[in-house]
Amino acid sequence: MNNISFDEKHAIHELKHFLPAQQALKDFIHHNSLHAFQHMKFYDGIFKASKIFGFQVHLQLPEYRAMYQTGRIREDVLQMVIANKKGKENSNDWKQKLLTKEYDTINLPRIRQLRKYWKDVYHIDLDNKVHPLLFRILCAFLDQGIAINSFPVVNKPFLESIKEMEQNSFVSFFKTKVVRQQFLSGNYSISSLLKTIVGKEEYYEQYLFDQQFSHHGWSGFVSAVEDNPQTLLDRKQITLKELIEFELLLELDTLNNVLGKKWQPLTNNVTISPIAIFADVEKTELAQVIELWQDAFEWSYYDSVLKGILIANTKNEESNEISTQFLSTVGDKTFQAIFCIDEREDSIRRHIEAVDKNAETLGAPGFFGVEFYFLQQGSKFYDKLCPAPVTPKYLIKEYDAKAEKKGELIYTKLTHGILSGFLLSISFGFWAFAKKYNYYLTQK
Amino acid sequence: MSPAISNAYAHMDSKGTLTIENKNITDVENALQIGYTIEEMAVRAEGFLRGVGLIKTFAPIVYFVAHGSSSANNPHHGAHDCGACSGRPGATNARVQSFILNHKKVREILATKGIVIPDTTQFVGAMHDTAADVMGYYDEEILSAENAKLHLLNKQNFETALNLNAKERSRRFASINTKQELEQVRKAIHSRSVSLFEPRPELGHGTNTLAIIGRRQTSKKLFLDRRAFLNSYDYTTDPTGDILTAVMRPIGLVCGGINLEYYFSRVDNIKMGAGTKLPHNVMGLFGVANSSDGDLRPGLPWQMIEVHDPVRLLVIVEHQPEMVLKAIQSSPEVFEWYKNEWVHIVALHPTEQQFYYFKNGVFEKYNPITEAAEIKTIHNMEQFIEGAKEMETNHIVHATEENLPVYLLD
Repeated sequence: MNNISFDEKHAIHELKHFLPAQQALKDFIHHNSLHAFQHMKFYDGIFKASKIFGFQVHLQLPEYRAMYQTGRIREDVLQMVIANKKGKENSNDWKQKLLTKEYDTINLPRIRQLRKYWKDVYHIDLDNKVHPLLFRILCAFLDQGIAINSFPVVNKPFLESIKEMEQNSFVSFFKTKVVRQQFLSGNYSISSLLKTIVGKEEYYEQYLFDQQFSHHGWSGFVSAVEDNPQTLLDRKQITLKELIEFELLLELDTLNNVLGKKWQPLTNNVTISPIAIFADVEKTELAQVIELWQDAFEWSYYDSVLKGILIANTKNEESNEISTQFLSTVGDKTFQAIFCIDEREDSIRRHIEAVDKNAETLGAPGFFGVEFYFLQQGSKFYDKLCPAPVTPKYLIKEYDAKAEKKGELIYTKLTHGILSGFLLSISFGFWAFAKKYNYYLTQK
Repeated sequence: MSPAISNAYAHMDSKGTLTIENKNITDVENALQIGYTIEEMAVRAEGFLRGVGLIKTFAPIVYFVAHGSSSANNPHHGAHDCGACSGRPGATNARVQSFILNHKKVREILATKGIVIPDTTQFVGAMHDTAADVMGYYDEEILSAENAKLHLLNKQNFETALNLNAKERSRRFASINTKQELEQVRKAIHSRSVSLFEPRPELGHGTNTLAIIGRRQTSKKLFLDRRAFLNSYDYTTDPTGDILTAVMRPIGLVCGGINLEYYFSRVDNIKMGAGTKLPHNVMGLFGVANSSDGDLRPGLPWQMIEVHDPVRLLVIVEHQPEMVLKAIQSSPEVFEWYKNEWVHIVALHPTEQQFYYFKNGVFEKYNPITEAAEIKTIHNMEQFIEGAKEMETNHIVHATEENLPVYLLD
């Protein structure tokens, strides 16, 4: 991080590693939100992520203490956890820390410490000036068909599309001619823009992290689309590099427009040294206290489940012995039902087995061992029907379907018009109010 | 169902036909082979049946019950569908594997490998709508006359189970009186799932905590409050642990991934979660943001995680610890989840009935400190559900008080 010489490729690679990896909502695949720290031990990873990005990575200390008071965190389990991790001889000392000691819980993250100087020194909120326009352009470019007006340039990479619009339009995204000309000439790079905006090279990477994590949702999505273009049915060509270049140009444009010539590269006015964002994080006493609380919270449930399994298995063995003695009473299975391993199916399986004692239920990952793309009749797009990391070699197509594929009202654009949007909003608002009112009147 | 609904059953037409069998391997589209050859089907059938330990004693009807979730005005509906199907309803997979296992030639190949499926056994695809508590069935017309009769009876039992399931779920929904008649509760669950005004059509994976890999008898007598991923696996059919290696491959990634997405969305709903749904605007049909000028909001919205206990997943595997260790060490990607403790893992030694907890690279004995008397028994499920505590507010301490401890089942 503290490299004096800036390596653009490395910086972009690092950014992509730490940005959220969520794809389009239609492909919502749950994953570890801190996947970038998974090579570390859990507690080391989460506390480091917290120090770098300012994430809250555990419950608040008063919440653990409240759960201890209500018995959700068990005293005996807490004792066990403390003894295992800190030794029996230190148990009382640590228990007092957990229960009563006051800690300074303010976390000053390493991110966003450099770019804040725009506000401090020049009293300009760059995010506020740049983000609304940037987000609208990104959204319009990536739109999947819900915008009233589609993006005017199709099938071209992001920056080429913007360039074409700039060349063929009477208006411009840029407010200053100089930056517009620079953009149109293509005579720029991330390094050259950073030199103008940031100044000293040793701050470049820190600046980019500050900038991209001021909108980690958009940056993460652009990065995800770059890596997995198929996440968008209407594919778009965009890279994180293009986003950074365009954002730096917009920042430069804003600085020139608002401050004219009365500004210098940011680091000319910065007295702090570059921050080693990814330097090791010291384990504080508070972190150790949180670790003990979290373990105790987890094992308060786990321990009883494990005991329950032992008791249930003992009962199973007893009932099996009885069954063996009275074989005639054991009927054949009426049916077997194989569900997904999904924890939501736990209860329906339990109820099925209660309703029909001779039914057997099983669980397996819900793609049931067959991996393929599915093409619904009338659809242009393949749907992957297997776990995300698997790339199927097979296609299964639907034909002779009786139901016609219709547009879904949920994707209506009607709410976007000024009049229709207004009318629909107030209609649904009053309807919702009436329903709520009715609920309170009837009180369940 | 109204067209305003994201309908899980609309993903595939139950009356349509699928190109499952490939009779000519040159039948290719965009470099993808259309359908499976007989041999390819047999490989998948065998792998699946051995994985769940279902290699003998087949019932007359075996249902593959996929799941999907229908809801209205819900941009996050994909997060409620099947994670193992890349966030989509799994009905097509249920139908495809049923077709494969009903195929005469596939059964002939399976028989040569020691898996003999009686001619009288038929496989039927189905899908459970986890929001509406509705069950749909596919290709019922293939059933023999005798099985068709049995199927009718089974469907009635499924309906009763769905009623009870709806009642159990209703205890967490403030808009439903759990003490109503079963049918009324079920109707209310259904209406709620597709209401335009309802930000919680279902609670998704909220409260997930456990993953149990073993025979059903390991968990059958326990009330786990819908907190456990349940993966069937029979260690008695896998003395070498090779099947376990395949079974364990997706557990960290899928179950651990779900668990940690919920964990981090719960503990920091502002930065790692999506915040409350109510001000969300759908952006370009690919994300959500607060207002048109806001950042995209990855992670889960508040309404999906408010009942979630932010605890890591505990994976419980029924096999000898050395076999479990071998399975999780099969690849660095798999091992990382356990080695670095992003999920916990415990081996249940089947003959010793002793737990071993994985810590610092080794499995060590773990003896629960909970007393047997502390674990109560449920004698009447309906009464138990009606009497379960409801949250006073959705503050963490109140909300998670709804998460019930483990109980034994009568």
